[in-house]
Amino acid sequence: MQKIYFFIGTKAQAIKCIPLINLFLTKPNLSVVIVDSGQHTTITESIFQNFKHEITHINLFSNKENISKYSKGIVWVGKFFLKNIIFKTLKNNTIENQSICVVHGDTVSTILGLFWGKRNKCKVIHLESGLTSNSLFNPFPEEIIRRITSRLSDILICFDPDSYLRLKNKLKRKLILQVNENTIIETLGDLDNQKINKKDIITATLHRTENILSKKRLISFVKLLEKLSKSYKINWYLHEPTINSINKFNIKLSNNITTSNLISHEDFINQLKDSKIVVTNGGSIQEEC
Amino acid sequence: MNKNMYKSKFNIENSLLFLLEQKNKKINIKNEKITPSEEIYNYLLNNKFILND
Repeated sequence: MQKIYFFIGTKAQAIKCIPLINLFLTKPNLSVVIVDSGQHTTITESIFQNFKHEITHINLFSNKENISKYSKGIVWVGKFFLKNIIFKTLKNNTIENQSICVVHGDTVSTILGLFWGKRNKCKVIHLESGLTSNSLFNPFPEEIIRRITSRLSDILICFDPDSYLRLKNKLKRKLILQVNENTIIETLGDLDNQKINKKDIITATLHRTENILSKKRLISFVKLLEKLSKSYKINWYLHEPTINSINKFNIKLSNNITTSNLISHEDFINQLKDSKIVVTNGGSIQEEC
Repeated sequence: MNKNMYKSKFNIENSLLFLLEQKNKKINIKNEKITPSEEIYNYLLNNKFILND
């Protein structure tokens, strides 16, 4: 059987790959394997725990907590490279029975998946390829990761015409497919027959490095939420690195802002449906909106 | 003579364009029904990255 490895490290990667995983699982000649990089291990584990199909899992980095601090992240990348890319490869992965490794987006797990796939002689498919900010260091390191992954992957899948044309012009010899919609649309159910009741709620998230490592930017975000809280109920869903930054900079949040940890994807989608406004720097959330 | 040749060439071009439009329309109708995942799967299958059932 031909093996399809889905290299996953973050919540967004897991959710956006699930429609493709479900489809591949229906094909008798394909064997689906989830490869967990260990980046957000508790989140991705909880997503696949409730999965309706049984799938083979490979955990490449055993850790009990998510990587939420930059110092831990550097150690994780170093150990991952030594253990899984330099010294160890998969057994019985011959070129005759060509395996495929699917990587997604622009996270650190994306580039680790690229190197892991290449090391194990897989054809690498890059999902959500071709997006760009046109600035190499912004956002950092996402922009650099996406460019390297696009350049080194075998098949590029993009979800909008701009990305397709950009990739076609720059990487003329690559196999590039433009799909009309992002796979995330398949996770949202039948949108035409859903009742949406908007309430005076604002849903907020903030997790990008450039926003949470800058005290000035983080404070201005909190001030914005405080202003909006005069007219709306604010629900701010906090990522672990964001909590760390709020504590580090000793930022006091007003009682009008309700904070909570991240919730399941299904609950979050329901929250978005109820909200009149969404304030976020997350690309996937913008697509879901 | 030249005028006739031009006319026939023009007709062939128009016919080809029309056929191409029809083909694109059919493809669009097809694409509307399939999900992004199915589109990706079909592409991999057509390019022989995935082996047939």
